[in-house]
Amino acid sequence: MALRVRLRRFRDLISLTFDLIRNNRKFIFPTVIGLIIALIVISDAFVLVESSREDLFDEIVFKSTGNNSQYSSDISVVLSGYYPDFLGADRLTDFLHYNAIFDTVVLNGDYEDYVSEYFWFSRPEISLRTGETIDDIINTFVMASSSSKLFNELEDFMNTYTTGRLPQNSSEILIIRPNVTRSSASYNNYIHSISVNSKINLTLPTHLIYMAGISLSNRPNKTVTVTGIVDVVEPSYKYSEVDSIAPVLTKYLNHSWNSFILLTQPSYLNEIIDEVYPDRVFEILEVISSREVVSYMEGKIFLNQTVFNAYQPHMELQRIENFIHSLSEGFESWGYNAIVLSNIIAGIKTYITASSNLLVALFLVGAPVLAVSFFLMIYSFELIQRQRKKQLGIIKTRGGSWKQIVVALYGEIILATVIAAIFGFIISFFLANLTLRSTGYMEFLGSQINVRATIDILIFLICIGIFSALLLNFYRIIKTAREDIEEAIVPLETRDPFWKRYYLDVTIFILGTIVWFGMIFLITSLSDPVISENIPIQVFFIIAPFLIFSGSILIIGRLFYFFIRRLAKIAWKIDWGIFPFAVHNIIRYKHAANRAALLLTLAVSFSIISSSLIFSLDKTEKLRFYYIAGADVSFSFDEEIIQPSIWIKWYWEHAVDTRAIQLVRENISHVSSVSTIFTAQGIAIPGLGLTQALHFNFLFVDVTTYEDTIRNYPEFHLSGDLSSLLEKLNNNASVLLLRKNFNALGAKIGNRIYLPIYSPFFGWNANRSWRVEGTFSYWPNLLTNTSADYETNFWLIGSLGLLEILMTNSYLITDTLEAKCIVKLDSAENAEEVAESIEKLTGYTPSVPSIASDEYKESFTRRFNLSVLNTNVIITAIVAIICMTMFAFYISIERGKEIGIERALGITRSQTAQLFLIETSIILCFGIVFGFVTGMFFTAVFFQITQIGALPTPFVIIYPIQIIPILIGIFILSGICTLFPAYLASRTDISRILKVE
Amino acid sequence: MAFLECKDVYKVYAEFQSEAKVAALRGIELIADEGELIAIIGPSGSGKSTLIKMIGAIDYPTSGKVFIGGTEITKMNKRQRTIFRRHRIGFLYQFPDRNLMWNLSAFKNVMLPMKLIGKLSNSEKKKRALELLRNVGLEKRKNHKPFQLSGGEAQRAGIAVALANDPNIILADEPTGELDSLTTFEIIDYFKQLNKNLGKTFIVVTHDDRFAKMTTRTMRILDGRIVSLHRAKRIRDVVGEHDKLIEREELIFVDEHGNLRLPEEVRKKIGIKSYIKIEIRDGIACLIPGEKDERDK
Repeated sequence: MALRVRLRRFRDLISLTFDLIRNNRKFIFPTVIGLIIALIVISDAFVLVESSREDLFDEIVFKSTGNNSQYSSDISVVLSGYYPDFLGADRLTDFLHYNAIFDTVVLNGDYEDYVSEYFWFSRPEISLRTGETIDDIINTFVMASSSSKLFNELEDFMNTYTTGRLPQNSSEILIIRPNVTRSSASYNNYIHSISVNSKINLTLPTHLIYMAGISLSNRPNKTVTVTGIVDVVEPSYKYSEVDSIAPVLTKYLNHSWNSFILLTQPSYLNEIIDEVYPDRVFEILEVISSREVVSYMEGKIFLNQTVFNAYQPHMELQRIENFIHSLSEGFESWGYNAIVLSNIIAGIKTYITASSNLLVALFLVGAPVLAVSFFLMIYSFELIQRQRKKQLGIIKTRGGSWKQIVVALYGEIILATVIAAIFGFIISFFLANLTLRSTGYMEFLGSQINVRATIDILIFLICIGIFSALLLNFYRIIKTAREDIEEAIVPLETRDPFWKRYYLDVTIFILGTIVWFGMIFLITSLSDPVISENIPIQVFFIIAPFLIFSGSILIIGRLFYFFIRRLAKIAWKIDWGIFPFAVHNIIRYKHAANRAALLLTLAVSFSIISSSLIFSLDKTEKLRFYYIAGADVSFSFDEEIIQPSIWIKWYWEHAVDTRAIQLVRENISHVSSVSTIFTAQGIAIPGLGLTQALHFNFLFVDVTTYEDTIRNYPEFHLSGDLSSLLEKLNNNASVLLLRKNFNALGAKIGNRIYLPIYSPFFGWNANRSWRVEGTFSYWPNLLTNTSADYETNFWLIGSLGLLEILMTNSYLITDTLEAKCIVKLDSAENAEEVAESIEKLTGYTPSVPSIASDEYKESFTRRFNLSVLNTNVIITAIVAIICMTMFAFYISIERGKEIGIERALGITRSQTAQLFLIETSIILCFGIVFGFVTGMFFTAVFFQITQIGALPTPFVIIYPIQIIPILIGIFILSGICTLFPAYLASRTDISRILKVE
Repeated sequence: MAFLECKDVYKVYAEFQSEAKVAALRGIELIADEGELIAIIGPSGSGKSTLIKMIGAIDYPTSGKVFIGGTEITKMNKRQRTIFRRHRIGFLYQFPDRNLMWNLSAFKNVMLPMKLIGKLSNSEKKKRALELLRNVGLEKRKNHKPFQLSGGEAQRAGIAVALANDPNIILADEPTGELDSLTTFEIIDYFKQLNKNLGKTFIVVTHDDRFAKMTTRTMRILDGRIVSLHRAKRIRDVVGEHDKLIEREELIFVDEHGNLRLPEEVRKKIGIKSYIKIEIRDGIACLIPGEKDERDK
């Protein structure tokens, strides 16, 4: 019986809750709007990530694997021959056997759909013989069976750009060489003089011959016919789509663009050893097999990327790990010492972490919008509180216990949240569909993206929605439920909150600002890592923005009262129709109005921050390419020289192609200035009083032409007094030093810094010093390493004269040295045209940052960023509009009786509607203006953090003036949305209002 | 013990954010039997609504005791009071929006208290709700929401809601305050009818003197004290051999401490200013206006 009664009670409670929800829907819906928006933000983050998973997977697992990793294939099987079990040279090139092993593993493991292509190559060292002397040591790749793609690509390339064909047998060879137009000391001109159909003689390298105990005169050799030549262009930021075979070679042969390849058939190695020098085969093989490099053999396996499921990375990880294990076992069972490596494993692991991090990042980016949404939720709850309290008062009077009320309210929240989650889920789907097509700031002109939203997201949304709604309303619900009946029926008027009485808002704001700027000062001035580490700067990073943010919001709340009171006084004096009444109505409903104004301010300011980020990220990325290139167009005269060593003087004399510069200056239009720079990296090893190695990064500039070339880029953030800085370099003895080095050394302008340099002739000179005449924070072509220790890693700028002095005195200041020409144009729009002309005239391939920047604009990263930030702008704009509409609805409900009385006293319907519109307009004006100012302020303050040298290139802050049309749109749309409640209020029956309310 | 007893009930309100205290009730003594219809009449601010709250277990008195049906409700904790209110008390306020949920129909409003108890089955609840609405003449308007009902209808719906859980006592606070004369009489008639038919105790606080003549007992309350009792005099009906309430009399109330308050008309009539003398003459107490003391002049 007791159970029956309990069940009945429970059922009645549920039924009562349902009745209340059903009949309170008019009240509940506004309270749910905030939650819907919050859930849209959360759901949108999930949908964006889910929809981008395939791109993300491709970007992280495959693209990064292909471009930047150690192994250009998806899986590499490295086989090394080993002594004394080495069976013979044929074992090194027994590609058919490898294929057989591989095929067995694939077949047994059911990996057929997994593997797209695979092939094998060996890389024994072969020398190219020119006459009697042996000049070059060249890696020769001996090709194997199945890479039809590589063959096809090479064939197509030769058909399009050069002449020749693929080698058909081991007596034919294909030469792959860097496309350099001017030879240098490091290369033999001979290889560049070889043409198709010429015959060349190949042999084993001298050191191998020595090791094998063979006389040089008897060294094995073979003459082969060159069937084709492929000149490889450096894959850089090209001005146009000139085909370079370099990426293909990198992919298939681990080839760097500036090395040489002789491509022939697998049997070649056997032939050169067996046929040419049959009686000494074993000794040579022993030598070959004892050297890993010589006997290096690699299998490259490319996987079918389409079979990877980006949505189940753990399963894919397991699968590839199994595959690698099987391969390893397969080869080892045949006695091979096989090392199977794959970047895909690391890639998938990175992808798993990155996708989670991306979600977290999205939530962080969306945090302000989430905050606004939750504020909207609380705000809307406050709006209906009076109506709600009246209802609860009745329930309490009828004997409703606080527990029953809690159940009813929680039930209401849970049901409302479920509905909100469904709404949020559906809306986020459409929103993501729109924003994923982002091509620019509020531009959605991109191609359709498949938006993916799973039921898991909905379930998560419901859970997170219920959790947050319960959490946010927990105290309020308990408090409301436990209130006394009288308290519930007649809400008490309270005094100003304590923060207002004691000016805590102003205090918090000032404190936050002081802490923020103090923190930035500390970071910029204290470069000593020991001091920096001891000061808990991270704590300030969290506290300061929080203080500034909350202080600002509270101050805006205070300002709102002040502003409205002043306005009321003025309006009353002017006596301008119903305007004064409208202002006084705002004062009467000051709490609701204030919250509406604050919400609007927040929404506008956050949309400004999001908008600013869109422009700032674009601009910063563009600037990054300019920093790398140094100007509108730039080109290197030659490839980077590793360890110039004894060629120092020679190199210096021949480094700069003056003819090319002349050609660019005189024959190419749109060129406004041309300058030459040298970039150089060097290291001073410990010793001579040095306890640790010092790393130098030099930039040597031509002081006479450099300024003209880079002067007109304000974004470069170079010193305003560039002329005087460069003038100081004129003495060819002074340098400019990175500010962080400067601070780390505790140097002063005019001080000399001592950096040891090395000369092959004079040894280390620890007393070599330069006078520091200035500092810089960022400099084109001299990108800093942000994680470096600034006491051992130096970035310096000197004049070409200084470099010349060092070179002519044979001081080896660098390990690498690169000469570049930077070209400033009359307009960046002509960059492509100029770059084309430069290549035609000089043969050098220029880098064009504007083209690189355009390519970035098409990238997944930018598209994703845009999607997120555009979503934020859209949502904040929607919040702003909803907030105003809710305010209007609230006053139409709350002011029912007043409207009745006003109407009874003779105010017309039109005037009632006008009152609404004026009230919302005043709040809108306040919110938008203050939101604009606050947004700009937040942007200026919070982005300061990007200016403290954490990036190798400066972060450009753009204040988004483009948001003004959006703000006007918010104003107009909010006005239009207010028309409906205004209409409702004006149409309500007076007698009913007066009776009911 | 009587069904309802208020013993020396005091209620002092502390003003919000102020040191000042206001005594709303000052030693209320009230006794009512089960099935009685009592009106408590007094001007605004006399403490009648406060008294209703004390009886209705909505508020705690500062001191004193309230018994209903032998149970001391002033000793109860919040939970007990809620349960007590749910089962034993029906409320009716002046404004319909305090009696009825504005967005629920009349029928659902009547169902609400029953749902809070959860004692009856669904069909029983529905049957009872319909019956109550029929009793107050609103059967045909059961699906109307409060704002679709007239003032009188809304109050009748409120009565039905108050009776929903079959309470022992109905407390009505200015139930006719918002109504016209005709509807007021209609509501009073309903009260009388329900009181007679259901045998429930009705305590009605009002400032409407018309109630005084229509109830068995009427208390006058002034400045937080019951000052007088207006009641029907029982006279033997010679013809029918039954008691009949044909005459009414007003009695001055004397509390446990001997305090009494004289109505203004009495004071004026016999010229009482600040002091009186009481003389007992043949077992009858006579009030004699006293002259002021020399020192008071």
